[in-house]
Amino acid sequence: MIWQDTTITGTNTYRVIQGQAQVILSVTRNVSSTAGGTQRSDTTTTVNYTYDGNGVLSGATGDVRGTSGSQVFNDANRNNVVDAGR
Amino acid sequence: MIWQDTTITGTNTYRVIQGQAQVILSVTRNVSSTAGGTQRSDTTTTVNYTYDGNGVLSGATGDVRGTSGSQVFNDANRNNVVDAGEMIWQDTTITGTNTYRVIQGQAQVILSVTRNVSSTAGGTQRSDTTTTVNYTYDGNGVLSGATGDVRGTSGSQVFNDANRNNVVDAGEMIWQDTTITGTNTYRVIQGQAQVILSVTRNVSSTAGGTQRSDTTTTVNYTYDGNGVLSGATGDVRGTSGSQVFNDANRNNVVDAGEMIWQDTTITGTNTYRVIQGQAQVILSVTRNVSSTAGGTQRSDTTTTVNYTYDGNGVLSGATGDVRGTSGSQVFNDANRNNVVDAGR
Repeated sequence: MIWQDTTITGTNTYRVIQGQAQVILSVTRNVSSTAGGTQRSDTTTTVNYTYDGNGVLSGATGDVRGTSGSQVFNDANRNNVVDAGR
Repeated sequence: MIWQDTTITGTNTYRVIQGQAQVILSVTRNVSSTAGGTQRSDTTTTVNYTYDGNGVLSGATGDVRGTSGSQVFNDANRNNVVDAGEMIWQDTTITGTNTYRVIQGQAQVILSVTRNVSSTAGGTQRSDTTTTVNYTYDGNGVLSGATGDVRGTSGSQVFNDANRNNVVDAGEMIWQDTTITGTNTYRVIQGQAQVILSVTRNVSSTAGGTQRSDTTTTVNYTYDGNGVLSGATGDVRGTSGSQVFNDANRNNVVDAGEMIWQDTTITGTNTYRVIQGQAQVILSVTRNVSSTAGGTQRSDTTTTVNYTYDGNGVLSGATGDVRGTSGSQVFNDANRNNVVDAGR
């Protein structure tokens, strides 16, 4: 059993509402790959938070954009052997 | 260094005892505001003095009533600009009692108990705390020390969408309160008891009891030789947690004991700047470390927030970021035997 970690980097944008700094936008990027380097993922999650006039969280919308990938055997020369670069 | 003045107006009521006019009641009003006019205070202190048959001061009782307030930015139209009418007052109601002891012929406060009750303009946040301070004096009646604590609650209204229709129906805005307990350590500087260390514990949980938080905030205050607040440093320690479904017997049913706590360890530092005589947080760096009960998932993130204030010490903005890692344990069947061997 091995650890498979994801690197997280993000920014939060705040607005002062009723004297409190409230997060109105968070953009978080998650980048990971497997130990052997044969799978990878790079996604960015965006969340927009909305507050009512009293500064109470009333809703949120969000999306995820990114890519994930796996290395696959591309037997270009049809020799059924994993050659370099294939 | 600027002057921040208080206007004092009072009346003293006297009684002639043994041929001397003695004050039996003093009522003093103190009104102050900061230079920029963004903070204000208006309190009235009442002291009743008693004398023995010889006209010697024998005791005193008193109380404090009033309000203190700060201006906060109420961005009503959500344009992130301070438009006319968007700086509003957020006041605190102050009620307190003072207990006195006569030392060297003077009535000295030995115990003050002050309750502060506040709520935001929209009524969605509230706070109710009581601060107790015990003062000690040397044999000459000079203030020599003080100890104190803070007890109370603070709370916010949160949307509890009980019927899952995404609409705020009647009764779906509920209070989520935090229990506050703290101790204050004082040092006497220039004859005044100044807080040099405050340690405050905040404990909260959601209405359904599925989330909890228990953090302790420590702040060390420093003063210059004249007793003026010159700086502050502090940190935050604690845990926050959520209940998660641990389907131990794999039957897809929440059986007894299968809702378990998954806690996060919180450690952080706060950097302060003194603005208009108040220590304001300008930078908070908080690390959250968690792992699942079985130890197969982990997270370690650090959240940084930079706060900005206008010239009057009113919070005007914030920026921040998050950095860290999260991970899961996966089966790396290195020897291709389809068995979870050690280290694989």
